[in-house]
Amino acid sequence: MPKYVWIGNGDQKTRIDLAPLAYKEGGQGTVYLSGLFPIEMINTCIKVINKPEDFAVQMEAITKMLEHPAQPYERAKHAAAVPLELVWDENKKAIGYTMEELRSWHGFHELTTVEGSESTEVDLRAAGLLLAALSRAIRTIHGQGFVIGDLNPSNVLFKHIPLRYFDPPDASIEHSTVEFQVRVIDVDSWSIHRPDLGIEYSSHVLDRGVIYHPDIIQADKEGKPWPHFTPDHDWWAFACICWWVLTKHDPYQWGKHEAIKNKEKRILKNLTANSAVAVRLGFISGSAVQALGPKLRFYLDRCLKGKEKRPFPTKMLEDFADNLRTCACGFTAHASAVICPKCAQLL
Amino acid sequence: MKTLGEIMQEDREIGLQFSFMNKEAIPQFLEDLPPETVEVAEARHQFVTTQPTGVKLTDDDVFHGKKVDLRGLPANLLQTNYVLVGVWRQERIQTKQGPMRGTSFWMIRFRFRHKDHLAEYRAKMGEPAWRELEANRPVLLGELVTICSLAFWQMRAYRNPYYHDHQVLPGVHAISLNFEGREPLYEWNPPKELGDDDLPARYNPDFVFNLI
Repeated sequence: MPKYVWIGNGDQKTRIDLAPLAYKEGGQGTVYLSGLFPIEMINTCIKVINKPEDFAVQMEAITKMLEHPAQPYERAKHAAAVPLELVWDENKKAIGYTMEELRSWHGFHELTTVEGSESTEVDLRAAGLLLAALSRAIRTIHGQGFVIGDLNPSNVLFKHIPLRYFDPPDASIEHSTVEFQVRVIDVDSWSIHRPDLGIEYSSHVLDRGVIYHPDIIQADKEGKPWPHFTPDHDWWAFACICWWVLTKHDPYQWGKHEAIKNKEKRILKNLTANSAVAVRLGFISGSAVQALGPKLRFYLDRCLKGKEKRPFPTKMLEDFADNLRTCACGFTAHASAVICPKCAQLL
Repeated sequence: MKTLGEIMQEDREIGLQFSFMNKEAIPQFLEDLPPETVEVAEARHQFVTTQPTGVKLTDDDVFHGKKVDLRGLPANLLQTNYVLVGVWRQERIQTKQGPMRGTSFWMIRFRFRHKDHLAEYRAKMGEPAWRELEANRPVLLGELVTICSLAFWQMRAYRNPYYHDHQVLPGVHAISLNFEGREPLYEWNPPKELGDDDLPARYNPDFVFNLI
């Protein structure tokens, strides 16, 4: 690992001493957190790739994207922790990049359990709005020619910021709202399809233990090369994340005890948690699934079965978040569920 | 507004029967009955055609082929004196003459019973099964909501004789609401240019059915 790195270009380069910085090691590289950075770099961190020679093609694509006047990363910076500036070693070799520091943010994986949702204070409404924000972020990312590929709950961070404001006509009335922000991380594992800029890069990074696409399972079974990631892969992963975050249940597994092999089989055969006739899902998860309301529940199921291959209709998630009803028993469900799935009273 | 009939004290049960041709559209949390065999299907057909028939409440001239909106029905039922006492799903074989004869369909049946006649039903069912039903009732009703929310249906309604131990009970009836010809309500595959918008409904109903 280098002791010093240079950030920026030409005369504007700044030399940073990495030794005193707090850091977190990841699979591909080490992220150095700000603190001792110059003032203009506050809220920025440095990602140094562990073995840059293994990521030469990737780094070349990132370099091209950063140096291109069209600034595709800049346009996606409110959706993802995109590379901001290149990081060079003493030999002027690009070994990483700077990105927005997201130290106080939470991961979507925390929202896949009841406990995690409680500890991060994300109720069903907030979860719906965060997913809507993620849906918009994915559209933004795709709009710049990127495909996330390894879209899984741990690669999405979120923050909710309470906002208070006054309405100008009557400044004595204070309003409050919450702003939901999401950032997709691990941007260096994205594929880039920008033939207009002369940049094409296909990634093959995927955490198969979490999100395992049907065509990739099939390729692995047959010992064939993986297909290239497309936006459809991201939208399928998004549907999995939605199901997980909103119901707290895996869209394919009965329970945590089940072997992963069985899950792969179910993914291939489209045996989702919501598949009637073929799969029995315990009544215990019924109320959480029904809380989605019939339309969102069946639409997500169609996405999981590969019947919907298009960007997710974000307004369906906003409608979900904005039309929740809490029953006298304390259970919350979408108004279209009509009857409380927990106690059978009218919502 | 057209009134089909009045629910009377003598109507001991209200039964809702939905026929699905597409098993993908069936909601998840329903009790399974074993698939119907050809012999049983024929026997059922025979029984239906030889027993005293009820009174048809829907006029075929008015309702045949019409799309009926049932979205208000589950909430209506919850506000009556009838309680859900059973739900079944069964794969059946089409016995009617015609091109569909011999093909499979799925029958989903919801059975509601008048509150004044629950005790005998509960005793017959047995306490463990009754307790299980009580625990599952919210989710079972939720699946009725699902069925009524995602499609419009063609409808036939009858007031039938009521059978107890295979015998007709004089002066007692059962309302039977039969739904078939399911028309999915939402445009699942709208044009891509819809962008971020929610899914649009495909139709307006010909009728809206309510129990009031």
